[in-house]
Amino acid sequence: MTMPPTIEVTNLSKAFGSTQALSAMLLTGLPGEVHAVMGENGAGKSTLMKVLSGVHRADTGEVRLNGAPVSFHTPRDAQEAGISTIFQEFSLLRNLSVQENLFLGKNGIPAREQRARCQEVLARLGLNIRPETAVEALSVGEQQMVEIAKGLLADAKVFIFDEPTAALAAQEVETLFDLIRRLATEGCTIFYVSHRIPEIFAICDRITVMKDGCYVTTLTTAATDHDEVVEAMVGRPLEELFAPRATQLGQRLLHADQLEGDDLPAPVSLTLHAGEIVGLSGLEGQGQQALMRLLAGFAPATGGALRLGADQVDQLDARRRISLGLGFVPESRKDDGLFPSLSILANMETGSVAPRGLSAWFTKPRAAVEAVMRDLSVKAEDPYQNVMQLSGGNQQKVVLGRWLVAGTRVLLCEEPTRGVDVGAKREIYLRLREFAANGGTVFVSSREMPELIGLCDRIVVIREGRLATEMPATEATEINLLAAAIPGQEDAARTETPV
Amino acid sequence: MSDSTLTSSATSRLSLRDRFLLDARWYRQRGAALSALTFAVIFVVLAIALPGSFLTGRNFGNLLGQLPPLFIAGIGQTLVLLGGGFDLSVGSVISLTSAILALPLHWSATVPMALGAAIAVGLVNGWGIVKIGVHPIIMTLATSSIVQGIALTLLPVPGGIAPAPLVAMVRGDVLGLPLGALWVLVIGALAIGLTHGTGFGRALYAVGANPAAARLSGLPEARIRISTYVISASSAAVAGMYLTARLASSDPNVGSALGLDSVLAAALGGTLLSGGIGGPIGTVFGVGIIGLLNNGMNLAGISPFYQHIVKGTMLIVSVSLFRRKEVGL
Repeated sequence: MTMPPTIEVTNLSKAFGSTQALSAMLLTGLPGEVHAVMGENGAGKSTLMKVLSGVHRADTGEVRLNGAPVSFHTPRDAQEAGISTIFQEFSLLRNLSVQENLFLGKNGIPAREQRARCQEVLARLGLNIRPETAVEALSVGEQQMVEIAKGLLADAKVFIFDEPTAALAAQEVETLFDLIRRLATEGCTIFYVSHRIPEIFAICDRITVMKDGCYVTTLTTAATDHDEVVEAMVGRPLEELFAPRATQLGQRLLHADQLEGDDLPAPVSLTLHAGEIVGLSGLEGQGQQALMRLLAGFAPATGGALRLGADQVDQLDARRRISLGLGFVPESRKDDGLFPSLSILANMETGSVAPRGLSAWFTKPRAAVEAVMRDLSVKAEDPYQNVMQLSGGNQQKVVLGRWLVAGTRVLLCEEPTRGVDVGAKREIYLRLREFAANGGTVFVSSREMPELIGLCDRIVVIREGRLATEMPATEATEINLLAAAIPGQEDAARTETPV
Repeated sequence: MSDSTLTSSATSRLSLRDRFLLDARWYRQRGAALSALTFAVIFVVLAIALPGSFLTGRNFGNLLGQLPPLFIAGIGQTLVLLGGGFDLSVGSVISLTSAILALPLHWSATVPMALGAAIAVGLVNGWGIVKIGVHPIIMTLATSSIVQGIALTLLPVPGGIAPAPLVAMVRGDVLGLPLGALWVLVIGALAIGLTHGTGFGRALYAVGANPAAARLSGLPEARIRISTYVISASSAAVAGMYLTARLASSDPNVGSALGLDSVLAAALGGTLLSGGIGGPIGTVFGVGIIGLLNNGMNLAGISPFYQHIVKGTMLIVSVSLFRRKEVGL
């Protein structure tokens, strides 16, 4: 590794108003390496990448590209200098074709040449898409490839990937990783921003960790491990992340007996007891959402029975189930969970509307909300603060707190810690355990298997819409959860699957 | 499974139907195709039901004389909608143009004045919406009120004599076609060329679909959005000149119905109010549909009040069809 670095960031600082987003940041990208940039939410990863891609301008500090200092005024400058960024929200225009997207803002290239170069670059990526195809008609993975094609077309030497696997299916992730490795062998530098530690270890050569806008350390992947990386991110040794499991179970709180819904191929039976946390594991899109929504009452039950405590609820709508003590934390906090224009108070009150009825007056909502905010240690000035000013972790606590205010006993929870940093994760785990210990029950789905293993008492695995396996969390490992989750198991034995 | 879907979009020889469903240009013009089909159906129905009165040269001459104002204003509105905006001030600008043309000055002064006033309105609209961040409906509603007020101050009651050269440009035939048709052809060709043949047009579709992404792609997003309001106001001025010349006299309320009708024409032509989908080709048919409906019902002796009901119903039906992506049209 004596090659001169492709890109070198020294002493970079950037402030937004009174917040210092970056201070004296360092980063070095060597040719041919995949370099992870890690840190908790708000550590400044995105700001750093946005400075490199020309979206923001640094206050002080220097960026050197191939030894020469550069300064970008617009994203276009960065692209032309050879830095290509694949943003989390793609910058593709869905109503334009692939070719139109690739040559947007580049006038004066004849259509025939555009088409030829477009085909050439798509072929380099192994993509079988016609240049005329509308981006709208492509899958998320294909769209990401088109973003990368933009970089190839600009002959980029530095690629920045911001959480590239967040929206991808498992096989698309493999394709992406192959491509990243290929870009690296061709001598490009790849910066890879992600929370997902297993991915980082799978693909990156070095890891730079940042915290509170500052440089912490750069580790070589081969010479470090999971714990060292997490400790560097958190800034202190890892305490026990999870609370102790349940010691004894209470009465049956939710019981589904051969419950059927339109979006599930088979009837589901499931029992949740007071005091326990049950995990729902499975590969992407195996029916987790459909099951959760069927239990919550957002999709009608077409057969079977569902009991909430002593009440038969399968024919009741979501509002009535909520008034009988059910709570639902949706996966997408911003889209389905929060009312972005409202205060914390208003956001937390909504769970109590259903049990009380629309015409009821609220008595002392503020006291109840403040008590829950204290319990959950929501970091906010007061209950009247706008909920969108909170960090992701605190927003998640608001969504959870809504059901605590409402006195929920059965909590259905999708992805409890999505987009939440390590510190807030720990608090959410503790609160969920506390909720269960106080006589509630939690049914939680998550993509992160270590989270389910650490948090839950029992884990059920869903595969192709069926509850395939159940195991105590103490016996679960990522390997046996995955083994149970891979679809096509029985089918493979019976029939030859045509390719 | 997913592998086969991947390769299906890949095979080099695609059926025409698949191209239609996958290609971006068709994706943006599906509404126009549906609208052309609707136009054709109405045309055939009228031709069969009213052969004696509908299929006559005189009737077509009438139609082609009536439609240009709506067409010209509708084209301007289409560009605003494509860029993700909305322009309610079109009707007032038409009225203002008519009022300015009635000023006791030579036409060589009033015509540039009217055009200049319209450009100013467009700039104010664009500036308020893009730079200040006022919602398009609020901004153009406000300027619409102001502009209508100015028009009424300049010309409180209908009157005045339209400039003779303008009158000459809307009366009479050329090569057997009424002059109105020539206005439609020229402005239609300009608009279609601008949206489908230039970098501006490409950028306009991009900006309308996602302004933030367009900015990241290095497009001058703000300037493009502002320019759509200037184009819209200018075309409203042209529509106002045509109307005034056709009536041979000015009227400070002449544009009041055309403001919303221009949105109607664009929407019937398949341009989505959310931006980035549709275009002037569809608006040609959208205006045609409105023209045929009015004309047909007039010929059939149906009360003009019913025409409003039919127009509104058509709009709901067509827009709810455009919203369904699975309608492969």
